[in-house]
This record gives sequence, structure tokens and C-alpha cells, in this order.
Amino acid sequence: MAEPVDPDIALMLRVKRGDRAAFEALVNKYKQPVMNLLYRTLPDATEAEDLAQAVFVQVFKSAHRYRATAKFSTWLFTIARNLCLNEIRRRTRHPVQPIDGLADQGDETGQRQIQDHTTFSPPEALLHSELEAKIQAALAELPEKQRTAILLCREGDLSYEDIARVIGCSVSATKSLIHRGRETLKAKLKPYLRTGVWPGTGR
Amino acid sequence: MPTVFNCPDEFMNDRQARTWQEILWRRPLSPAEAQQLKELAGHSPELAEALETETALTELLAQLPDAPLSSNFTARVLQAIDTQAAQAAAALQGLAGLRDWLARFGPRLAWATALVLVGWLGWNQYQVSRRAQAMAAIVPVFQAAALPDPRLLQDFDAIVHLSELPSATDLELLNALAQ
Repeated sequence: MAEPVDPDIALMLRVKRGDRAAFEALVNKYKQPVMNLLYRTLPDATEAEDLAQAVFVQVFKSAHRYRATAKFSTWLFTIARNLCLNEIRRRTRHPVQPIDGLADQGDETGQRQIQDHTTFSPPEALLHSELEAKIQAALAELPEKQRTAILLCREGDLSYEDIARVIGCSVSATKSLIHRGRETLKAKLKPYLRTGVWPGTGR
Repeated sequence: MPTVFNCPDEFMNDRQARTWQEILWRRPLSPAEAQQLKELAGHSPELAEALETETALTELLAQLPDAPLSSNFTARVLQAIDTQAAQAAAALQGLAGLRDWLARFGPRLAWATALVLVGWLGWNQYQVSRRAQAMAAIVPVFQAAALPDPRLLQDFDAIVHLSELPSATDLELLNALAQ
């Protein structure tokens, strides 16, 4: 069999044969994009990371069923979206009050080690934090398919056809979703888009 | 599908507008692309404004920081896989133990069960047979002992004595009636 052109497919076929190093390479490549998608839908870093972990575990367990009929990233984000939707449905049926994140310290899988992000000076940090919160709130208010389509579009790796496969729509419907979602975001974020500052920040 | 770049065809046709739009949805424009689009939009204020807003949103979304992620995320994923594999192996071992026990004691258990079943069936059949015999003995009694209507027993004493020889008083009465 000829070697697939897509390097991710080649890696996944190795995973199918039991190659853990290939799986590790895929996790390292896609952990951040998957986490970005999940975090913007479940805006809790701990829960989003737990779900991201479940996504990759599912990928490993499903490796024997993997068929190279589409890009690996399409298959991966489809799993991520489905697990995310399952989690949202579970929460709707059984709402849970969030507890303090310090409860994780007894976790058998080990302590979390959080990366050090780029730091800003205090006023800049506050501005970025507030702006990010505004964007996050605007994204959270979008219907799920619009938000997912916009976030996948932002990742850059997926074509419109791939995004359409992930969310289960036609390409034209997907582009309509992106268009409507962006129009809504533009309306909500208008003050910043027009002037470059958020009203009330004084910058 | 609508585009944000609603402008007269002399500046840009629909297909071009969609192409630019779809590029802007995915990423900010390069300086060369931005210049090219600016020249196209230069004669249309509405197009220029739409372009500016679309670009601003794309840049804003591009500036969103990455979600926080543990530095040992990959290790945790591999550990979760190993943990689940160990749990699955332990469950399989439990099933294998049950299978071994059944292989060892299964035939004896089957024979014992068969014997108990035969014994129970035999005892059950014996009970059924006994009941049937008892029923058969009772039925003639039921048939023979069919009681008459109670109204017939009202004059029972008189009827019983009818068969006896008439008494002297009765004879006297009969003679009197005959005369």
C-alpha cells in the first residue's frame, strides 16, 4: 500500500498497528486545537481538559476502526464535538454546582502542571482579560453549530468541506452558519471593532 | 449566500466578494492582500467599511489566547489509557476465573442438577397419582350419597311408618270408613 500523503493519516495508521509513539505525536500536535474548541464551549479549564483527555482516549480506543477516508483532523474534531455535545446534554439533565478546583489534588492520574502563559503588565493584563471575557461571552451565546463552525474556521487546518463534515451540514449551510455567527459577533463586539478600545476602559 | 461585500459589480462581482470573504473568515489578510482589497474598495465607502469590520473581527478572534493546558497533558492521556487497559484486563481475568471454575465443576453440577430434577419429577408424579386415586375413591360416595330434596323429608316419619302393619286404631278407622 502506498504511503498516504497526509502525515497525520500515516501516524494514525501506525497507531492502528499499536505504535504508541505515533499516538503521542498526534496528541502533541492536536491537544491545543482540541482544547481551544472545548474551552470555548465549556468555559471551565478543568472540565475542558478532562474532556480533551477523554477525546484522545477515545481516539486510541477507536484506532482499530479508523479508515483513512478523510483527514485525521476531521475525524478528531468530530469525536471532540460529539463528546462535547454529550457533556452538554448530561449537564442539562443533571445540573451540577461547580466545586473548588483544589479538589483535584487527590487525583490518581497526578497533579496538573499548568503552563506559564505570556505575561502582560497589570493594566494590559486587565484589558486583555476583560476583552477575552467579552469575546468568550459573545461566542458562548451563539448557537452551537455557528460557534463550532467559527472556531474550527479559526484553527485554519480544516477546509470548509472538512468543517461541514464535522458539524454534519452541507458546505453552503456551513458557510451560512459562519456568516450568521460572525454577523452576531460583529453586532455584540461593535464597540471594540469600531474604535479599538472597549467603552469604559479609557484606552 | 449573502456576502458582506455588497457593492456594485464594477468594483467586485459576487464570486470575487465571496472569495475574499471566505479568506477573511479564516485568517487576517497579508499586507499584499490587504492592499489589493483596499484598492478594490477604494471607490466604495460601504465596501471599505464592511471590509474594515470583517478584518477587525478576524484579527480579534485570531488574538484570542490559547486555552490553558497542563504541560503534562500528553502524559496524563497515556496514563488514562494504561489505567483503562489494566481495568479491562482485570475484568477479563475475572471472567476467565469463572470460566475455569465452570469447566472444573460444571459436569458434576449438571449431573447433580439432573438427578435433583428427576427426583423432583418422580415425587411430583407420585403425588399426582395419589391424588387421582383418592379422587377415584370419593366419587362413588358422592354419587351414592346424593341427598333428596329436603321438602321430601318433611313427612319422613309418616312415610317410614307406612310400611309397618297398621295399628289397632288404624284398623278401627278403616272399618269405620268402609261402612
